[in-house]
Amino acid sequence: MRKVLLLGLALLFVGASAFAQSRVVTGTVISADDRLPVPGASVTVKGSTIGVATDLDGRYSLSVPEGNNVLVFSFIGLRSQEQAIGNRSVINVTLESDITSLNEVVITGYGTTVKRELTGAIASVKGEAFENMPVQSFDRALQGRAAGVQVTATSGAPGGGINVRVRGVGSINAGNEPLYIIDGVQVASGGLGSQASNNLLNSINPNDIQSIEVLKDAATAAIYGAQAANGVVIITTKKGKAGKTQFNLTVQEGTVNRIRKIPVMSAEQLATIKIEAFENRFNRIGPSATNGTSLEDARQRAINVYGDPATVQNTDWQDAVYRTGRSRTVDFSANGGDDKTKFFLSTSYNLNEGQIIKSDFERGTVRLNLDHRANERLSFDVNMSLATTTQNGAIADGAFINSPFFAALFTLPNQPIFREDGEYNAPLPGTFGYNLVQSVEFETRRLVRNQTVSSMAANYKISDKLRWRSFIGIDYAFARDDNYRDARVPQFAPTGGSAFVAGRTLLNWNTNHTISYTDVFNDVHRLSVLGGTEFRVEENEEFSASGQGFPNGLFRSLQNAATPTAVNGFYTTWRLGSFFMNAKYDYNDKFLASATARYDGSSRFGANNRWGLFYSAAGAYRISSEDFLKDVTWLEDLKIRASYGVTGNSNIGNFASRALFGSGGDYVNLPGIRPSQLGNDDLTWERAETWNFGLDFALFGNRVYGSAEVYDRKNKDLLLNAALPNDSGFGSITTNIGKVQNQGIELELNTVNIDRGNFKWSTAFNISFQRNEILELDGRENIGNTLRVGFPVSIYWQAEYAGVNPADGRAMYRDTLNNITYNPQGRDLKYVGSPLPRGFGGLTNTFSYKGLSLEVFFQGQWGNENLNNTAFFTDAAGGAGWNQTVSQLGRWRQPGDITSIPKAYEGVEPGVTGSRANTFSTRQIEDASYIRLKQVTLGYNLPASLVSRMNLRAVRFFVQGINLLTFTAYTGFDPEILATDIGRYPQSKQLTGGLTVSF
Amino acid sequence: MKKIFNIILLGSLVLFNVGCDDALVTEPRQSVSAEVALTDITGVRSLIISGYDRLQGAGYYGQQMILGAETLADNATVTNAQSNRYLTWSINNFGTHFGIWANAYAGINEMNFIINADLNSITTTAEANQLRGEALFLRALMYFDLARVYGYEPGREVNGFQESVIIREQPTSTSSQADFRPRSSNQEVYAIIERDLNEAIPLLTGTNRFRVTTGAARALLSRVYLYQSKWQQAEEMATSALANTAATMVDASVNPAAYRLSFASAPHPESVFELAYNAQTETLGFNESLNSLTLRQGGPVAGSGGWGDVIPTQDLLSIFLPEDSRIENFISDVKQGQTALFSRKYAGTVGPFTDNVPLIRLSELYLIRAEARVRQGGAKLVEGLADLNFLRSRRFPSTFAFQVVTTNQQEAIDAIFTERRLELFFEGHRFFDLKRTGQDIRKGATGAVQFSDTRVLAPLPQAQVDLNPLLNQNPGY
Repeated sequence: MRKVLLLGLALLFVGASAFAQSRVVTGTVISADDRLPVPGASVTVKGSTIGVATDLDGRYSLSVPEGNNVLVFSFIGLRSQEQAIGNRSVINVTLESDITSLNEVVITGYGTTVKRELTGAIASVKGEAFENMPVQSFDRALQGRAAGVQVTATSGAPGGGINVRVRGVGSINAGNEPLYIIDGVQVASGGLGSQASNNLLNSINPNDIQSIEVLKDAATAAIYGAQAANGVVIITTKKGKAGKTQFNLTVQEGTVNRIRKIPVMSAEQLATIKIEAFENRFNRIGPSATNGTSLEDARQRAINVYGDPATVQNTDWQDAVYRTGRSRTVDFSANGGDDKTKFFLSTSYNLNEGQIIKSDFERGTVRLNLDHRANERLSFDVNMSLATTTQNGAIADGAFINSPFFAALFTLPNQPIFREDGEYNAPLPGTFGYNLVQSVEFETRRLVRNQTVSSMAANYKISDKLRWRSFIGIDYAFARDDNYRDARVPQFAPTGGSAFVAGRTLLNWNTNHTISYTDVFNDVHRLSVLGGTEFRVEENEEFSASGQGFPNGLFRSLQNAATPTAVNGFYTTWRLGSFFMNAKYDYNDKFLASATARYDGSSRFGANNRWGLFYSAAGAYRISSEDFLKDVTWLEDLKIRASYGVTGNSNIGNFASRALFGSGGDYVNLPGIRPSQLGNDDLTWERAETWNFGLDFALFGNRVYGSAEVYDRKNKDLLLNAALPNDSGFGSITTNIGKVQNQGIELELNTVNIDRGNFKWSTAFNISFQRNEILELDGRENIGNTLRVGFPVSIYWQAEYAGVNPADGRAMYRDTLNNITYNPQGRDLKYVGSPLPRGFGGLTNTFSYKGLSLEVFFQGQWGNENLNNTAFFTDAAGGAGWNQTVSQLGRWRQPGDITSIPKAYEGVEPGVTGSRANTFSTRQIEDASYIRLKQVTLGYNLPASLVSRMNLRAVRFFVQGINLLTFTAYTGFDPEILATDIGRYPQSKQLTGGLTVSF
Repeated sequence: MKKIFNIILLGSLVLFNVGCDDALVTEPRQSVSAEVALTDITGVRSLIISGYDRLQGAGYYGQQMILGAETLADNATVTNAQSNRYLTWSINNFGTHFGIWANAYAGINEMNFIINADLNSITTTAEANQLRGEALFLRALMYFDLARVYGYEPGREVNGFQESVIIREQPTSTSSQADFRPRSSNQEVYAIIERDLNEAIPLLTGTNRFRVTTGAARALLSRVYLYQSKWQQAEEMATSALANTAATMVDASVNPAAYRLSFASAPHPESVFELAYNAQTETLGFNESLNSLTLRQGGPVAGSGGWGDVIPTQDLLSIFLPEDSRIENFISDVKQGQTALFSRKYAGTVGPFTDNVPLIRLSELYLIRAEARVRQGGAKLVEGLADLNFLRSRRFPSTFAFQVVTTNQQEAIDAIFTERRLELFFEGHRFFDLKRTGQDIRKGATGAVQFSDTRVLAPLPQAQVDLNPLLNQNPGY
């Protein structure tokens, strides 16, 4: 829009200066960034009002009056340049990108601003930062690139779920996910479908994204009122540029592998320790029906199950379910247009096979973004996207005995995959009875989702100062689950094979209408005001059906089922109505102030408290504009900011305020109803009160720039399920009680370390420190063990493990008096850690030399503990009937042994409940700090001379690696998880190579 | 300009606010608001279903009230390699116990809605009576289970600890009604159980043994009397129940398989009250069903079984005589190298991983009456032994000398307790039988659990004790 305006203005100048010309200068303006022509750049004669705008091919022709000898070339986002004309009649100019420009456009709620005018805390990540990164959803690409934004995968499945936490965890029971807005459409996040960990945000091709802005403080987010307390993430997709149509094609191919293999015992090792466990039991309690008649008999009983260490064959079940997956991306885009109509068009295909057999993700997308100017006053913009994704899933994350990434650790290694007759060896003896290779192969878990996130807006210029905009956006998805359990798997045989099909529809739309006014008084007072209304509706509907009894494994669809077994339906909805207003004032680029108010009404809340007011105020002071700093040449910019505001969180159940009767189970085919919850007409928003202080700086000719933030956020009136005495028939009622505080410091620093000749080295660094504390609950000091006043919202409350008694090999714990106990009680538990990190950050170093570039990106977090719940089972000291980690071989064996692993004992030793893996303690709490080499990309651009001979604009080759190295003390699959680690699909290591051709 | 602008904004705020309240109205579809739920008899019919559904869960009669009462006592243990289910129960780990508090009280609250509703205004007297009778029975059953899990039976208190559970007889409709209450004494709780059952008995006219019948109410009341050592009333009520049920005795004296097979028919011929399950929609599945827990997948019982964790103890097996038809219920299997006998009472007979659970059987009524009579002594002792021997006559071949003959009261009582184990194993009685008579639990290698031990009573949910200042935890927890 700006470009078009400039073009129009410039054309007027041409007409006015037509009579005074005396010589003509022509040339082309190109951008240093992409070597592309810059249409609409202004070319003016210095010291005059004479000027012209470049055309769609970046060309200009300007008549320069006699006596004037300098031309000024400028364009938004590029650094202005002056050129002495001398005797030249052709002047070609390459404009450098103004990378640290304070004039960089930043997207805000219902508008844009430039960075220098910001009064609040916004983290901005440009699309280039994650372009061609082989990730399925953009939220993953945010990881480590925005200060204060913690991104964790809930599952490593391709296309799987992601947790994004902006400035910590402020809510206990309401959601902590930020509000996502894609091109103005307030979209639903989370998953839709049950057959694979999935993510509604993966319908957007990350390569279509121009920028992601994270609104972190109240000053920036309060305009989204009741949805803003967890921060707001605004995704803006690419727009067309006027000019010759430009094409981009990227092809990328690669591999997907596991990051880590857990060292579990070989069949020989397991048999050895099991024999010892059986013998120890015999020695402890003597002969019995289960123990056998003699020590030799006890030994033989172990051998019967686990094999003879001397002869047993070994199967590596982890290797059996892992593979090298393939990944492939084809991405094509075109953009162009003229001064009336501009377009960006893209299509992409992405395939990512997981490192676990049969799990994969496949996506196709199409996008068309169109801007059209109907006349001087009226313009339209349209964004349309279509995506189809297909995921073949592994089982949901959790401790499932048929989960390949969980059960492979436990499956007995003396069991072969195939019997001698070539058939699957199934069922396997023992608890982990599934032959994983068979059950994964024969089970279908498929999720297909088709989705569109599209919008349209009309803009009307009432006057130069007053504009109207009407917007409507829709987020629609249909997801279909297919599950088929083949009767050839013995565990599924009793049903004769079963099938489950579900269809889930998400319809989510919002519309807003805004009016904005901007004015400048006396050249120094700049004022802009925005007001508007918004309405949002979300509806979710599901149906599902299942059946069992299939002729054989070839018939897998529901209509082949002999017996329909269940039909289900589900519907829910919520609505939000809003009114909002924002005012900004700027005095001479030195003092900035802004104020925001939003009035929100939500269907989720009680009749007495349906509407809420949210607001913020912010100010900034540009010290560098003061006269006394004018002479400090190395100081480009220095600005301090402060803001305060109140935002809301409304992420609770859609009908949480109502007294309801719902489904009450079935009995002998009759459906029941029962009171499902008590009503609360006073139920209302969680309020987040946020202070933010910020500092923006740019030094040494923008070679060093960045910002620092300090914040304090108190979430009050938490939507807590206040406990009711269970004897009332209800466990809780949702009420507004409780208070949580988040405080933190964030730093973003960008430097150009070396820029000499053709070599350039730049660094982007961000780091965040945060702390979290519950200030108040429902009047009590604790709710259960894990919610406690004075502690973070997520903690581990367990017994302290004190190692093994060297005399007899029993596991020891500390009691309340710090004495040794063998059977810790509830009172002996204490705070032993929190999964919330104390800090996290990212470091990107980019090196370039001529066409060669190398980007190295590290990401990490520290100060968080994880409950390695998988180790609770794998570290069983030889005592359980499944395979275990090799570390358990370091068990106590004889009096005097100093070790932390108890004696091998089959079953439970009399009087020692804590000896085996049935006591949670600090033994399973591990430091999960890590630093990860998240991404390395090596690229090479063919020289421009060569490329232009091929009639192309640019050719780039690249190779990249994801998750190549991890530094951590954590012993589980992956430290990059949230809290309890049990049966999580681990993340993968990827290596890809690709080629981008632009023409 | 600005002024006009502000006026427009303020004006639209007002209009918007007024119009928008209507735009924000949403209605749930799979739930209805509480005001309309019970205004129609179909709502009440559906609400009583929820009461039965409460009993079906794995935390209740679907699994733990059955297997917990066996594993906490001396009837059942776990296999060497198992899924971590019932391991801690089998060793009476401190804190491992029944946990029916929340579920039973949720059911009680639902029954309170029915008991306090004016049913006669929305349906016929007959249906109103039947529904009220069922609700009274289900409430009494849940209070009885709460009382025997969380408190001592009257007269069996350890250190005089009489606290039982909280009594609520009114439904909770608003949060203010969910007030804090202290535990009532065991006498008070048993009194309302008796009162409810006595009121239910004449109201019930139905004959479906999957639902509550008058016979079921009489049978439960006789058990309730037995638990309180009210021998004469227990005897009378057992007699009354026997006369008011459609259940028939199974005779295994000719065909020894008859005892085992009786558990494969639905309802069990001896069931006075049986909890039924639909195999498709109500099954507890592989993870939680009685079938999965007591039989091994791939074991000798074709098409059923799962974890196969819970097996009879040697102690239980050792009391069976070879001639006893009930021994036929067990089947030998090898699980991960361990040869053991497994019970076939839950053999997946209704469907995959699905069995009905008989809650009160005719044979139990004979055992109740035998005990009640023997305890009264004198001439009643002979009558009691006759009840016992009647049951044994249906379990042993007539050629075998199955009769228990004694004039010693304690010997007769011991014989009845042995018979209860032989007859009712894996049906959820053993732990409570020991407890109501103040006996220690013999646990083989892991030692005995004295009757005075903390672990005889279940711990109240600690969160409830923390929440409710009037609620006392059980001693020792």
